[in-house]
Amino acid sequence: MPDVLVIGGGNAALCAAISARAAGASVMILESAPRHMRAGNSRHTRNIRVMHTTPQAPLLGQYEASEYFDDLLKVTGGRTDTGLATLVIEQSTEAFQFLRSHGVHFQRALSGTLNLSRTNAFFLGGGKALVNALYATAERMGIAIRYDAEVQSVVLRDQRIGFVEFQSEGEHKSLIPKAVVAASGGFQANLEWLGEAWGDAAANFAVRGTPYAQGKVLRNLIEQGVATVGDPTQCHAVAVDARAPQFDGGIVTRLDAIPFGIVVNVRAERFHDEGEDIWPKRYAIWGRLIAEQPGQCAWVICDKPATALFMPSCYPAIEADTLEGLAERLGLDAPALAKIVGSFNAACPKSGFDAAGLDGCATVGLSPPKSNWAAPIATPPFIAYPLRPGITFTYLGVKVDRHARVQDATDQPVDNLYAAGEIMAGSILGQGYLAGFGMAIGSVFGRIAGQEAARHART
Amino acid sequence: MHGPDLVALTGSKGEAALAEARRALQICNACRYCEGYCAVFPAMTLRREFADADLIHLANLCHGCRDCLYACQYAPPHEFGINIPKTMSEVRIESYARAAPGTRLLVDRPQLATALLLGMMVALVELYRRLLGGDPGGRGFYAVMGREAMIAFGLTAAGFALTGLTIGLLRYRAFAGPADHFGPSLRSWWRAAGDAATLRYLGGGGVGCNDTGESFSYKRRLYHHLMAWGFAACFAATSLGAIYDHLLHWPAPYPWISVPGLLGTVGGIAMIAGTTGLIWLKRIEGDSVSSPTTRAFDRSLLILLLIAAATGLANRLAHGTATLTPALIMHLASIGALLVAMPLGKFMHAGFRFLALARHADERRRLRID
Repeated sequence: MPDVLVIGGGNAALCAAISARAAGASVMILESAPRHMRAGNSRHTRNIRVMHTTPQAPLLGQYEASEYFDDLLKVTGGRTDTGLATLVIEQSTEAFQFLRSHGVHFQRALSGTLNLSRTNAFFLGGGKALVNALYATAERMGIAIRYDAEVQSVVLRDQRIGFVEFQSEGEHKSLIPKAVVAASGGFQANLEWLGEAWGDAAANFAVRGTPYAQGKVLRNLIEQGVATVGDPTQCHAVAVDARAPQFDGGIVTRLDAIPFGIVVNVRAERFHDEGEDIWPKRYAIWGRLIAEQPGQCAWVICDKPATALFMPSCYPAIEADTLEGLAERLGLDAPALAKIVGSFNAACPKSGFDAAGLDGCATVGLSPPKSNWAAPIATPPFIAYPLRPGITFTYLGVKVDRHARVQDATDQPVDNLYAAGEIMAGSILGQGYLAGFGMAIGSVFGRIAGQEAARHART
Repeated sequence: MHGPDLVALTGSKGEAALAEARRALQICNACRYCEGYCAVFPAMTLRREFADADLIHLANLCHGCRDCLYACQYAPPHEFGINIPKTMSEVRIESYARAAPGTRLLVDRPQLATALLLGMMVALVELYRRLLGGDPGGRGFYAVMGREAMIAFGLTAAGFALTGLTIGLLRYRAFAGPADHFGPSLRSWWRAAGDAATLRYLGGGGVGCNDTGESFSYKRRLYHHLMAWGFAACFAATSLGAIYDHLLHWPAPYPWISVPGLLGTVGGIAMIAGTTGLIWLKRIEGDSVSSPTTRAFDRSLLILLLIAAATGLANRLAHGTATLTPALIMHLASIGALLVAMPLGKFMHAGFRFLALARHADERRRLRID
């Protein structure tokens, strides 16, 4: 019987397991996915946001706690637990070093794809390489790892977890660990649950990450009365290529074309300002916008020269030499599309376009407006990409204190239950998204949960 | 589960491999997580569309280290089924085949082609030996096969190799580009020479390679160094021997403790160790990282190198015994087979990769990526 049972197999779970084992506890990991799908959404991540007061290869310059916190406030609009957020920010440096000392390699600062080398440390090879390294470390340390092991219930009685039931190799099993770390993620792959807030629209969502984020443990704990945080109806969703697989399409299905074209729905109508702000800030609103359109689908339309301005898509562009031809290929009403493109083109200013930044090149007298990068769609071939909402993660989670202890309905900590990662991230990231912050929360709280669980188990 | 053997499926014609590479790179180019591992991914990001020439260039930049496969969230059994090392190895075969028509036989029937080549070379050595004879009163192997016979045989095989390699490299330049400029600068050639000599891209961006599975190692780089530098030492020993013999009139054979003697012996042992190691790595790797066809094709060069090194050492040991004659014939034949196979087989990767590295160095410099 393990001292510490870790539920989940992503970055937070691994940080917890390794920390608990390093503190002397015997540890078991129950991962619901098979081995090749292990580690949940961590498989799809790429970097971690790290506070640092001096350059720490590969991180350049400095990124002070105050700036980090300001960045968090901007994206969350204040929906964050200041105490827990500060804890994550301050311990992110140590968490980064922890990852590195447990076999994770970081990519040296490149002038390449993303200009985040000051604030974020990039995993060499991405998130799957990170989890491969952490699993190898976990195995070396003697941590027991069970794949295809789905936890059915975490039984809470008298302020403590009595036993844990799980399904493995077709059998029903149970364990009585001394302490439990719940690091089993959100419920973004559970379309039925999403449907409670989104109705039928949820069926048309693409789940960008793992299909194993079913939220079973989260729901089980909520049903037993633990305190929750985060809006249960909210999720982080972006616009992805509509041809993306229903699950696990990951990073490559996202489309960055929107600022350089127009977006129309199935009626060939525009419905939102495509040039509202610089793309990273607006990236996350388009999932929701498209979710509200009929059939949860839309198309971004631009011309050939514009395609050089955004990251290539993993799917081929839909092309035609005329707008009529394009409308036909998309199944849109050709006169309606020609009309909307015509009125958009007529509203574009003659000059002032600059793809490098907010150019103020706005349409005149158009509703909705395009506030930046308004350039006519005029040079054939004409290009379209189909869009649908792609859900990344959910915000609803369990409430924890700074020792990662899960709180019950009366805000008293459950005696031997800890949480880390997406299952508790909603208290810190209540809204929006900050690149590499999810991994910071997972690593910091993973370490805290592991250490605290080990201490609890050994006393 | 692991994707079809495209080379075998299409009868060693590369259209399927090229199409698969194009599909895969379109997905890689939207991801780019692997950009820190090697030159392929930074080179890929300079392009948005991939013509055959681009695919062949990228395939020859790929050293098959597999770090990108183990790091890939889209690797099989994911429905995207991305397997860059395997796909690239199949495109490389297509590039060898486009450079030299005889390559198809080495791809389709590697064992048969290698055996045929060895047999033909034994016959050729015998022919020269019978026609030109041994040196009367010649020492060591010159008594078995005279100076003229040896030179005539050597020139025949080396002439074929040099002609073939030159044609192959020129053809590669024609079908892999670069079409837009005259060629890399001197500085890019120098940088490529450094990258090739150190096998920089068998380093996985500083972590090593997935040579034997999920853990990282530098085994492939070590074995390749032993094999390649051992080969260079043997080549130097032979060249030095020729200089001693023809210019300094110090006739072969040379004692163990002499520069050619030491270079040849140490080089031969290194080659045996290196080729054995590389054959072992091929043996333990599964179909998930390469196809049986590409493995057999690659192995045929390793086997020729191993035979050449082993018979070279045997030749030394047989000095003054009756086995010298067969040992010498086998050694010369294996060197001949190796030389003739060079422009047709896996050896071409040395030239193509060097051209690809130089082109990549030039692209980086011109776009100021460094």
